[in-house]
Amino acid sequence: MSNLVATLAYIDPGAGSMILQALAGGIAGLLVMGRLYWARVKRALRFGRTDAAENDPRS
Amino acid sequence: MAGPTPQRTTLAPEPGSFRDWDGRVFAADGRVVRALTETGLADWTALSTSDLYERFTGEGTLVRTERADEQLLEELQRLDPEGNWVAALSHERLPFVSYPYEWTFSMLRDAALAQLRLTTAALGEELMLKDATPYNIQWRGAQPVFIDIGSFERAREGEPWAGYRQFCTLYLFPLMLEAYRGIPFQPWLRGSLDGISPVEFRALFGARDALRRGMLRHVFLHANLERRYADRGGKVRDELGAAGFDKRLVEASVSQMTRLVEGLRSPVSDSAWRDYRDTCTYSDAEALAKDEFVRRVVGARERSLVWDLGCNDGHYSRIASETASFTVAVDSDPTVVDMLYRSLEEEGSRSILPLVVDLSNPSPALGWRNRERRTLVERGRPDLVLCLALVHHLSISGNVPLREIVDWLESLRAEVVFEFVDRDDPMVQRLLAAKRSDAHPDYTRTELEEILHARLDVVERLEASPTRVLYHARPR
Repeated sequence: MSNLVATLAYIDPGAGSMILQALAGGIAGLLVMGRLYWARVKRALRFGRTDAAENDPRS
Repeated sequence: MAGPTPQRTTLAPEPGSFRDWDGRVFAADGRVVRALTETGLADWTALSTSDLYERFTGEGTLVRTERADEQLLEELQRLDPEGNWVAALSHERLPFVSYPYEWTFSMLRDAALAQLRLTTAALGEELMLKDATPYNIQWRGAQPVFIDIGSFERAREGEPWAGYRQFCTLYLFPLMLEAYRGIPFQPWLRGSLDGISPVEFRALFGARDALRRGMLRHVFLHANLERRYADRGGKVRDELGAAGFDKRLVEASVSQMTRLVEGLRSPVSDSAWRDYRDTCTYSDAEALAKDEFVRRVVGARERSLVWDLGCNDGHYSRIASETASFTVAVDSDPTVVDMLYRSLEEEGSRSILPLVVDLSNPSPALGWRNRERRTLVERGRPDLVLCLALVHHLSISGNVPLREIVDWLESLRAEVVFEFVDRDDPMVQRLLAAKRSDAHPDYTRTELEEILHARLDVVERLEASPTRVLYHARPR
């Protein structure tokens, strides 16, 4: 599920700042946080890859 | 003979407008125009056909803008052949440019709320603001006006609020600094055009402060996450999209931020200036004569821009604005200026802009090549300057010699109303009390008149009280 058109804004929104916004949304936000971290756990178990290998070339 | 079209000054790129690739602002006296790329044009089309555009330009919160003709576009293309400009807009020009480090607490707060209202409205119409900086706000008197039409873009599914971090560093943290710590934000914003970073701001607070409204999330957690996620921007954005981040979360963030900002208040600091008008040594009749003098000088000609330096409660700014088109009211005390702003805001004033500026150290040129943010004087020369009950403060408290002060006034090439308060005046006595008895030997009426006459044409003089004299002077 990646319907996201990921263009970079001209300002850096800040990775930590983006995650923080999920906190505003009550249950919906918690669900997003849960999925975000669950996806990370799954990836870590499946590939055991380093962060550097996964890094988006833009970041 | 010139042709039918009047010769216009050539437009030049605005030095503060280059960060966004989709548009660029150009200006010449009286004109502000914007060139757009293909993307910029599509975003403008989405904005200009939205309800919010109509609503906010109608109430004055959004700068009035029109699509300009082909002729202007060609002019911009000639001027900047390297830009991919496909359309041009022409903006309403606001009377005087100011920066957040010259605003008071209430001004920054109202600007923040205007920014949030626009962001909320944008979200409702599939639009978004790509940034959240107070440098995109200017003032029509006491009304905040959002000027950066190029900030609006079409919303993208799954995108977080891109301006959240910037909102914190340039609006929320400066406001919290004053509300929670009682420290004026202006020097910090002037020192750092990007504002206060979460990590820096976190360092100012102890664990107990986490209980204050908004602190735990926006400051403590923010600083922590920022450290942990440094350099992972693009990846986190994709992950959030995949985890189902959607517009409702942005809406919730913006509305919670609005409630937080609405609740922030500045602890009103005691200010020696505040009761200045009560302790003023003028008797009523003398005060009336002074008012009349100022009113007559201002009204004698058409004044497009008056500066009231040392404006205090804005009494003379109000007199000036009876006939002048626009008055910039300047004082170094943020508390005094904040009270003036609040009262002007209540009255719905559109012709007086109150600013916090210390004339002994006025706003410098800042930013890239020192051109992004201009000095006070570069932003529009006044045709009349009021210096009432100011010079003794500059000269005695600020240690600026009279000669220097008058030299500076002369360099403005404007008419001046200048008040001199003698050494025996109780006000001056109070300032001198802290100094050695032989301090400020230049501070005498004789000396002043010599200096004035050598530099300006003094056209009128009024003995406003036994210890105070007013001069009306013109540049040579």
